Amino acid sequence: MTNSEDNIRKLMEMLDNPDAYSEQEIRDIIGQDEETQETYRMMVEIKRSSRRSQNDAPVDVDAAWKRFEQTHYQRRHSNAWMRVAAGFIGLLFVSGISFAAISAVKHHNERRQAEQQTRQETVITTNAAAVESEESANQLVVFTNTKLEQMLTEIASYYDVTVEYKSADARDLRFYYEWNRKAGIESVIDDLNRFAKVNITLNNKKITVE
Amino acid sequence: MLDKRILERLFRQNYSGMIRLARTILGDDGEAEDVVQDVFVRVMENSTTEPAPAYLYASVKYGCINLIRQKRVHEQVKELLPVEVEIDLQPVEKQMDKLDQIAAFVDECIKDPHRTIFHMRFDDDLTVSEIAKRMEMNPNTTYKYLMQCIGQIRHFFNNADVKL
Repeated sequence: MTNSEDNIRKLMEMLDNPDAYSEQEIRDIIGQDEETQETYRMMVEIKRSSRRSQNDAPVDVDAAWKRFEQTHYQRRHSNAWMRVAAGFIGLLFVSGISFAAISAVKHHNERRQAEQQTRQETVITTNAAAVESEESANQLVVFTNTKLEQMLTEIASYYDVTVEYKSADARDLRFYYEWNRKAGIESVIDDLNRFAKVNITLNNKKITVE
Repeated sequence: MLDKRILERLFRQNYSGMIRLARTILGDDGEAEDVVQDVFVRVMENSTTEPAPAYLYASVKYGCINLIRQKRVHEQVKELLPVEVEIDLQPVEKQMDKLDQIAAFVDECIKDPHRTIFHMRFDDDLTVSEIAKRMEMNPNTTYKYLMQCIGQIRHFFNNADVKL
Protein backbone atom coordinates (compact mmCIF):
# COMPACT_ATOMS: atom_id res chain seq x y z
CA MET A 1 0.00 0.00 0.00
CA THR A 2 1.41 3.41 -0.94
CA ASN A 3 1.63 6.21 1.57
CA SER A 4 -1.28 7.98 -0.04
CA GLU A 5 -3.49 4.88 0.04
CA ASP A 6 -2.54 4.42 3.66
CA ASN A 7 -3.67 7.97 4.42
CA ILE A 8 -6.99 7.43 2.61
CA ARG A 9 -7.49 4.23 4.58
CA LYS A 10 -6.94 6.24 7.78
CA LEU A 11 -9.55 8.72 6.54
CA MET A 12 -12.09 5.94 5.96
CA GLU A 13 -11.41 4.44 9.37
CA MET A 14 -11.84 7.81 11.01
CA LEU A 15 -15.14 8.41 9.18
CA ASP A 16 -16.47 5.12 10.49
CA ASN A 17 -15.96 6.26 14.08
CA PRO A 18 -15.26 10.00 14.39
CA ASP A 19 -16.00 10.08 18.12
CA ALA A 20 -12.81 8.14 18.74
CA TYR A 21 -10.80 11.09 17.42
CA SER A 22 -10.18 14.61 18.69
CA GLU A 23 -11.10 17.60 16.57
CA GLN A 24 -7.44 18.20 15.78
CA GLU A 25 -6.87 14.57 14.84
CA ILE A 26 -9.81 14.69 12.43
CA ARG A 27 -8.48 17.84 10.81
CA ASP A 28 -4.99 16.34 10.57
CA ILE A 29 -6.28 13.16 8.95
CA ILE A 30 -8.35 15.01 6.35
CA GLY A 31 -5.60 17.49 5.61
CA GLN A 32 -2.61 15.14 5.74
CA ASP A 33 -2.00 15.34 1.98
CA GLU A 34 -3.69 16.66 -1.14
CA GLU A 35 -4.86 13.23 -2.21
CA THR A 36 -6.70 12.67 1.08
CA GLN A 37 -8.23 16.16 0.95
CA GLU A 38 -9.50 15.50 -2.55
CA THR A 39 -10.85 12.11 -1.54
CA TYR A 40 -12.81 13.68 1.33
CA ARG A 41 -14.14 16.37 -1.02
CA MET A 42 -15.21 13.69 -3.46
CA MET A 43 -16.95 11.80 -0.66
CA VAL A 44 -18.82 14.98 0.29
CA GLU A 45 -20.04 15.25 -3.29
CA ILE A 46 -20.91 11.58 -3.49
CA LYS A 47 -22.93 11.90 -0.30
CA ARG A 48 -24.74 14.90 -1.76
CA SER A 49 -25.44 12.93 -4.88
CA SER A 50 -26.83 10.11 -2.79
CA ARG A 51 -29.07 12.51 -0.80
CA ARG A 52 -30.29 14.08 -4.00
CA SER A 53 -31.18 10.70 -5.50
CA GLN A 54 -32.99 9.64 -2.33
CA ASN A 55 -34.81 12.94 -1.97
CA ASP A 56 -37.51 12.43 -4.54
CA ALA A 57 -40.46 12.52 -2.16
CA PRO A 58 -42.92 15.30 -3.05
CA VAL A 59 -42.80 18.38 -0.84
CA ASP A 60 -46.03 19.68 0.68
CA VAL A 61 -45.63 23.28 -0.45
CA ASP A 62 -49.11 24.26 0.67
CA ALA A 63 -48.46 23.16 4.25
CA ALA A 64 -45.05 24.88 4.19
CA TRP A 65 -46.60 28.14 3.01
CA LYS A 66 -49.22 27.96 5.75
CA ARG A 67 -46.48 27.46 8.35
CA PHE A 68 -44.58 30.39 6.93
CA GLU A 69 -47.65 32.58 6.81
CA GLN A 70 -48.64 31.67 10.33
CA THR A 71 -45.18 32.23 11.76
CA HIS A 72 -44.20 35.39 9.96
CA TYR A 73 -47.29 37.25 8.83
CA GLN A 74 -49.45 36.69 11.92
CA ARG A 75 -46.53 37.51 14.19
CA ARG A 76 -45.84 40.69 12.24
CA HIS A 77 -49.52 41.61 12.43
CA SER A 78 -49.55 41.04 16.17
CA ASN A 79 -46.27 42.97 16.56
CA ALA A 80 -47.75 45.85 14.62
CA TRP A 81 -50.79 45.85 16.92
CA MET A 82 -48.53 45.77 19.95
CA ARG A 83 -46.54 48.72 18.59
CA VAL A 84 -49.73 50.72 18.23
CA ALA A 85 -50.81 49.72 21.75
CA ALA A 86 -47.37 50.60 23.12
CA GLY A 87 -47.55 53.98 21.42
CA PHE A 88 -50.97 54.60 22.95
CA ILE A 89 -49.75 53.65 26.40
CA GLY A 90 -46.70 55.84 25.91
CA LEU A 91 -48.96 58.74 25.01
CA LEU A 92 -51.02 58.27 28.14
CA PHE A 93 -47.88 57.97 30.17
CA VAL A 94 -46.46 61.21 28.81
CA SER A 95 -49.74 63.05 29.25
CA GLY A 96 -49.87 61.78 32.84
CA ILE A 97 -46.43 63.17 33.53
CA SER A 98 -47.42 66.54 32.06
CA PHE A 99 -50.54 66.64 34.16
CA ALA A 100 -48.60 65.83 37.28
CA ALA A 101 -46.12 68.55 36.46
CA ILE A 102 -48.93 71.09 36.16
CA SER A 103 -50.54 69.93 39.37
CA ALA A 104 -47.43 69.67 41.42
CA VAL A 105 -46.61 72.14 44.14
CA LYS A 106 -43.56 74.35 44.17
CA HIS A 107 -41.73 72.25 46.74
CA HIS A 108 -41.59 69.24 44.55
CA ASN A 109 -38.53 67.40 45.54
CA GLU A 110 -35.90 67.13 42.81
CA ARG A 111 -34.47 64.02 44.30
CA ARG A 112 -37.86 62.38 44.09
CA GLN A 113 -38.09 63.27 40.40
CA ALA A 114 -34.81 61.51 39.76
CA GLU A 115 -36.06 58.47 41.63
CA GLN A 116 -39.26 58.54 39.61
CA GLN A 117 -37.33 58.60 36.38
CA THR A 118 -35.30 55.60 37.40
CA ARG A 119 -38.41 53.71 38.41
CA GLN A 120 -40.29 54.67 35.25
CA GLU A 121 -37.92 52.45 33.31
CA THR A 122 -39.02 49.38 35.21
CA VAL A 123 -42.63 50.20 35.91
CA ILE A 124 -45.35 48.69 33.76
CA THR A 125 -48.27 50.93 32.96
CA THR A 126 -51.58 50.05 31.38
CA ASN A 127 -54.29 51.98 29.63
CA ALA A 128 -57.22 50.41 31.42
CA ALA A 129 -60.20 52.67 30.94
CA ALA A 130 -61.22 53.09 34.55
CA VAL A 131 -58.29 52.88 36.90
CA GLU A 132 -55.13 53.15 34.93
CA SER A 133 -52.86 51.35 37.23
CA GLU A 134 -50.95 48.14 37.36
CA GLU A 135 -49.20 46.38 40.12
CA SER A 136 -45.68 45.31 39.48
CA ALA A 137 -43.58 42.88 41.39
CA ASN A 138 -41.79 45.71 43.17
CA GLN A 139 -45.01 46.91 44.80
CA LEU A 140 -45.23 49.97 42.62
CA VAL A 141 -48.65 51.04 41.35
CA VAL A 142 -48.83 53.77 38.75
CA PHE A 143 -51.95 55.88 38.48
CA THR A 144 -51.99 57.60 35.13
CA ASN A 145 -54.37 60.52 34.70
CA THR A 146 -56.59 58.90 37.32
CA LYS A 147 -59.41 60.48 39.34
CA LEU A 148 -58.50 61.16 42.97
CA GLU A 149 -61.56 59.24 44.13
CA GLN A 150 -60.53 56.10 42.29
CA MET A 151 -56.99 56.44 43.49
CA LEU A 152 -57.93 56.97 47.12
CA THR A 153 -60.46 54.13 47.10
CA GLU A 154 -57.70 51.75 46.14
CA ILE A 155 -55.16 53.23 48.52
CA ALA A 156 -57.61 53.38 51.46
CA SER A 157 -58.68 49.81 50.89
CA TYR A 158 -55.07 48.65 50.91
CA TYR A 159 -54.30 50.43 54.21
CA ASP A 160 -57.73 49.55 55.64
CA VAL A 161 -58.86 53.15 56.22
CA THR A 162 -61.96 55.09 55.10
CA VAL A 163 -62.20 58.23 52.96
CA GLU A 164 -64.36 61.30 53.48
CA TYR A 165 -64.70 64.10 50.94
CA LYS A 166 -65.46 67.55 52.19
CA SER A 167 -64.97 68.95 48.72
CA ALA A 168 -67.05 67.25 46.03
CA ASP A 169 -64.89 68.76 43.28
CA ALA A 170 -61.82 67.05 44.68
CA ARG A 171 -63.23 63.64 43.74
CA ASP A 172 -62.84 64.36 40.03
CA LEU A 173 -59.36 65.84 40.12
CA ARG A 174 -57.03 63.76 38.03
CA PHE A 175 -53.45 62.97 38.92
CA TYR A 176 -50.43 61.05 37.89
CA TYR A 177 -49.07 59.29 40.95
CA GLU A 178 -46.66 56.46 41.59
CA TRP A 179 -47.76 54.65 44.70
CA ASN A 180 -45.18 52.51 46.41
CA ARG A 181 -47.17 50.12 48.53
CA LYS A 182 -44.17 49.49 50.72
CA ALA A 183 -44.41 53.09 51.93
CA GLY A 184 -46.52 53.84 54.99
CA ILE A 185 -49.88 55.59 54.60
CA GLU A 186 -48.52 58.78 56.19
CA SER A 187 -45.88 58.98 53.53
CA VAL A 188 -48.52 58.50 50.81
CA ILE A 189 -50.71 61.26 52.29
CA ASP A 190 -47.63 63.43 52.40
CA ASP A 191 -46.98 62.79 48.73
CA LEU A 192 -50.57 63.52 47.75
CA ASN A 193 -50.54 66.76 49.67
CA ARG A 194 -47.83 67.98 47.37
CA PHE A 195 -50.51 68.42 44.73
CA ALA A 196 -51.64 72.03 44.84
CA LYS A 197 -55.39 71.53 44.70
CA VAL A 198 -55.98 69.17 47.59
CA ASN A 199 -55.56 69.04 51.32
CA ILE A 200 -55.62 65.54 52.68
CA THR A 201 -55.42 64.57 56.32
CA LEU A 202 -55.41 61.28 58.18
CA ASN A 203 -57.11 60.92 61.53
CA ASN A 204 -58.28 57.77 63.31
CA LYS A 205 -58.05 55.59 60.27
CA LYS A 206 -59.96 58.07 58.17
CA ILE A 207 -58.68 60.10 55.24
CA THR A 208 -60.32 63.47 54.85
CA VAL A 209 -60.09 65.34 51.56
CA GLU A 210 -60.73 69.08 51.51
CA MET B 1 -41.29 44.93 2.19
CA LEU B 2 -42.33 42.63 -0.65
CA ASP B 3 -46.02 42.34 -1.45
CA LYS B 4 -47.50 39.24 0.15
CA ARG B 5 -49.12 38.00 -3.08
CA ILE B 6 -45.78 38.15 -4.92
CA LEU B 7 -44.03 36.38 -2.07
CA GLU B 8 -46.63 33.63 -1.96
CA ARG B 9 -46.27 33.06 -5.70
CA LEU B 10 -42.46 32.93 -5.40
CA PHE B 11 -42.77 30.58 -2.47
CA ARG B 12 -45.11 28.20 -4.26
CA GLN B 13 -42.98 28.20 -7.42
CA ASN B 14 -39.60 27.69 -5.79
CA TYR B 15 -40.00 26.16 -2.34
CA SER B 16 -39.88 22.57 -3.48
CA GLY B 17 -36.63 22.98 -5.42
CA MET B 18 -35.07 25.10 -2.68
CA ILE B 19 -35.89 22.53 -0.01
CA ARG B 20 -34.46 19.79 -2.15
CA LEU B 21 -31.24 21.77 -2.57
CA ALA B 22 -30.94 22.44 1.16
CA ARG B 23 -31.61 18.79 2.01
CA THR B 24 -28.98 17.73 -0.52
CA ILE B 25 -26.35 19.99 1.02
CA LEU B 26 -27.26 19.51 4.68
CA GLY B 27 -28.83 16.06 4.95
CA ASP B 28 -31.23 17.24 7.64
CA ASP B 29 -34.85 18.05 6.81
CA GLY B 30 -35.42 20.35 9.80
CA GLU B 31 -32.30 22.41 9.13
CA ALA B 32 -33.17 22.53 5.44
CA GLU B 33 -36.58 23.96 6.19
CA ASP B 34 -35.06 26.56 8.55
CA VAL B 35 -32.61 27.72 5.88
CA VAL B 36 -35.29 28.02 3.20
CA GLN B 37 -37.74 29.80 5.47
CA ASP B 38 -34.96 32.23 6.46
CA VAL B 39 -34.38 33.02 2.80
CA PHE B 40 -38.07 33.88 2.37
CA VAL B 41 -38.08 35.97 5.55
CA ARG B 42 -35.19 38.02 4.20
CA VAL B 43 -36.92 38.40 0.85
CA MET B 44 -40.13 39.42 2.60
CA GLU B 45 -38.39 42.01 4.74
CA ASN B 46 -35.73 43.39 2.44
CA SER B 47 -36.89 43.05 -1.14
CA THR B 48 -39.01 45.60 -2.86
CA THR B 49 -38.91 43.87 -6.23
CA GLU B 50 -39.32 40.24 -7.11
CA PRO B 51 -35.97 38.40 -6.90
CA ALA B 52 -34.90 35.95 -9.60
CA PRO B 53 -35.07 32.22 -8.80
CA ALA B 54 -31.27 32.04 -9.21
CA TYR B 55 -30.95 34.50 -6.32
CA LEU B 56 -33.22 32.36 -4.15
CA TYR B 57 -31.23 29.20 -4.87
CA ALA B 58 -27.90 30.94 -4.29
CA SER B 59 -29.26 32.25 -0.98
CA VAL B 60 -30.15 28.71 0.05
CA LYS B 61 -26.64 27.55 -0.82
CA TYR B 62 -25.00 30.30 1.24
CA GLY B 63 -27.46 29.73 4.09
CA CYS B 64 -26.43 26.07 4.14
CA ILE B 65 -22.74 26.94 4.02
CA ASN B 66 -23.14 29.28 6.98
CA LEU B 67 -24.93 26.59 8.93
CA ILE B 68 -22.24 24.01 8.16
CA ARG B 69 -19.55 26.45 9.27
CA GLN B 70 -21.21 26.70 12.67
CA LYS B 71 -21.11 22.95 13.23
CA ARG B 72 -18.43 21.12 15.17
CA VAL B 73 -16.00 19.13 13.07
CA HIS B 74 -17.38 15.85 14.47
CA GLU B 75 -20.88 16.75 13.28
CA GLN B 76 -19.44 17.72 9.91
CA VAL B 77 -17.66 14.45 9.26
CA LYS B 78 -20.52 12.29 10.58
CA GLU B 79 -22.80 13.74 7.92
CA LEU B 80 -20.02 13.96 5.33
CA LEU B 81 -20.27 17.73 5.22
CA PRO B 82 -17.39 19.89 4.06
CA VAL B 83 -14.89 20.63 6.82
CA GLU B 84 -13.05 23.49 5.20
CA VAL B 85 -15.77 25.23 3.26
CA GLU B 86 -14.72 26.84 0.03
CA ILE B 87 -17.24 28.83 -1.89
CA ASP B 88 -18.05 27.22 -5.20
CA LEU B 89 -18.90 30.03 -7.57
CA GLN B 90 -20.53 27.73 -10.10
CA PRO B 91 -24.28 28.18 -10.52
CA VAL B 92 -26.31 25.86 -8.32
CA GLU B 93 -27.82 24.25 -11.38
CA LYS B 94 -24.40 23.14 -12.62
CA GLN B 95 -23.48 21.74 -9.25
CA MET B 96 -26.69 19.73 -9.15
CA ASP B 97 -26.04 18.47 -12.68
CA LYS B 98 -22.72 17.11 -11.50
CA LEU B 99 -24.39 15.28 -8.62
CA ASP B 100 -26.76 13.67 -11.10
CA GLN B 101 -23.82 12.69 -13.28
CA ILE B 102 -22.12 11.05 -10.31
CA ALA B 103 -25.26 8.98 -9.66
CA ALA B 104 -25.50 8.03 -13.34
CA PHE B 105 -21.82 7.08 -13.47
CA VAL B 106 -22.16 4.81 -10.44
CA ASP B 107 -25.21 3.10 -11.93
CA GLU B 108 -23.66 2.61 -15.35
CA CYS B 109 -19.96 2.14 -14.81
CA ILE B 110 -19.41 0.62 -11.39
CA LYS B 111 -20.02 -3.08 -11.21
CA ASP B 112 -20.79 -5.35 -8.30
CA PRO B 113 -19.67 -5.97 -5.68
CA HIS B 114 -18.20 -2.48 -5.72
CA ARG B 115 -21.56 -0.88 -6.48
CA THR B 116 -23.36 -2.63 -3.63
CA ILE B 117 -20.60 -1.64 -1.21
CA PHE B 118 -20.78 1.91 -2.50
CA HIS B 119 -24.56 2.15 -1.93
CA MET B 120 -24.29 0.62 1.51
CA ARG B 121 -21.70 3.18 2.49
CA PHE B 122 -23.25 6.32 1.00
CA ASP B 123 -26.98 5.57 0.86
CA ASP B 124 -27.37 3.47 4.00
CA ASP B 125 -24.55 5.06 6.05
CA LEU B 126 -23.09 1.71 7.06
CA THR B 127 -19.54 1.51 8.35
CA VAL B 128 -16.98 -0.54 6.50
CA SER B 129 -17.03 -3.26 9.17
CA GLU B 130 -20.85 -3.44 8.94
CA ILE B 131 -20.63 -3.72 5.17
CA ALA B 132 -17.92 -6.39 5.45
CA LYS B 133 -20.16 -8.43 7.75
CA ARG B 134 -23.17 -8.17 5.46
CA MET B 135 -21.13 -8.98 2.39
CA GLU B 136 -19.23 -11.70 4.27
CA MET B 137 -16.09 -10.07 3.08
CA ASN B 138 -12.75 -9.23 4.64
CA PRO B 139 -12.80 -5.61 5.96
CA ASN B 140 -9.51 -4.90 4.19
CA THR B 141 -11.04 -5.96 0.89
CA THR B 142 -14.11 -3.84 1.62
CA TYR B 143 -11.92 -0.79 2.26
CA LYS B 144 -10.04 -1.51 -0.94
CA TYR B 145 -13.22 -1.78 -3.04
CA LEU B 146 -14.66 1.38 -1.58
CA MET B 147 -11.44 3.30 -2.24
CA GLN B 148 -11.46 1.98 -5.80
CA CYS B 149 -15.03 3.25 -6.34
CA ILE B 150 -14.15 6.72 -5.11
CA GLY B 151 -10.97 6.70 -7.18
CA GLN B 152 -12.92 5.78 -10.33
CA ILE B 153 -15.40 8.62 -9.80
CA ARG B 154 -12.60 11.07 -9.14
CA HIS B 155 -10.81 9.92 -12.22
CA PHE B 156 -13.96 10.26 -14.33
CA PHE B 157 -14.56 13.84 -13.30
CA ASN B 158 -10.85 14.52 -13.39
CA ASN B 159 -11.47 16.18 -10.09
CA ALA B 160 -10.36 19.51 -11.47
CA ASP B 161 -13.56 21.37 -10.80
CA VAL B 162 -14.54 19.66 -7.55
CA LYS B 163 -15.23 22.20 -4.92
CA LEU B 164 -17.20 21.91 -1.75
